[in-house]
Amino acid sequence: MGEKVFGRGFRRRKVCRFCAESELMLDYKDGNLLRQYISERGKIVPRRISGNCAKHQRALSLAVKRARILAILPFTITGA
Amino acid sequence: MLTEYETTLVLRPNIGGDAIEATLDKMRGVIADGGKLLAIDHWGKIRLAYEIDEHTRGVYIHTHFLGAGQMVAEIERNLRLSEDVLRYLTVRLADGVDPGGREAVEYERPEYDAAAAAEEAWGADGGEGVEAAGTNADGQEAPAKAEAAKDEPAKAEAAKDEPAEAEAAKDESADKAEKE
Repeated sequence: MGEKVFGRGFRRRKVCRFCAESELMLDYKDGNLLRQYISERGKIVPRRISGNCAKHQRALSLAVKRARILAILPFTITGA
Repeated sequence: MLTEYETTLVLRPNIGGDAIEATLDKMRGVIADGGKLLAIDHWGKIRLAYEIDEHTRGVYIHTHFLGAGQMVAEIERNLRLSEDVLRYLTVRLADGVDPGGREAVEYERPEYDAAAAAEEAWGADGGEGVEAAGTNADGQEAPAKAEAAKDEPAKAEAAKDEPAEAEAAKDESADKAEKE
């Protein structure tokens, strides 16, 4: 399905940032770090864009959701 | 063997240091009964990512303690009942921790990134009406109030909202806006 459309063939072989650098901890309190993984609309960036491995993407997702509860991150940004 | 938890609370921005201490004391009381308080960390007044109860800023406090499950339920019950607490979140960190091995620390972090980062991310606002002569991270509030009276006419144009709102927070966030 991907090969038929030219634009879709592009696949970056990105490394998971958290696997590579083991000091980087996913903390729901760390707004700065988490903000890099939400879109302009406030949505969580998918794994194929963020390059995270499955384990860290799950952890990231949980962290973002907790941060949203504490109003460290928004649930949604309107007008983006 | 106790379980390690951390609870983060968000309080209304317009309450005084006394009310903050009262909330914390209630928590300390519950923890002291069989648990161990490890740390209380004041992040200060931070811009919220979305409005809660029509507030745009909140006082964040992070606590770290050891205790049992029932203790957490009790703490959360108290927080739920309190009118000053807007949000709370408790996270379980580890099980089977030995209380003897951990030391208690209470500290403030007025320079924590979060405030500046939040301002930058969500934009500086005109300031919440703040009377918080807080003892904690807002230690500068009390002296700042005296200056605020004379600064206000000049800042009145810069800060566009809520003319009726109090000075101190406006002063603070206007300063931050200018620093950018």
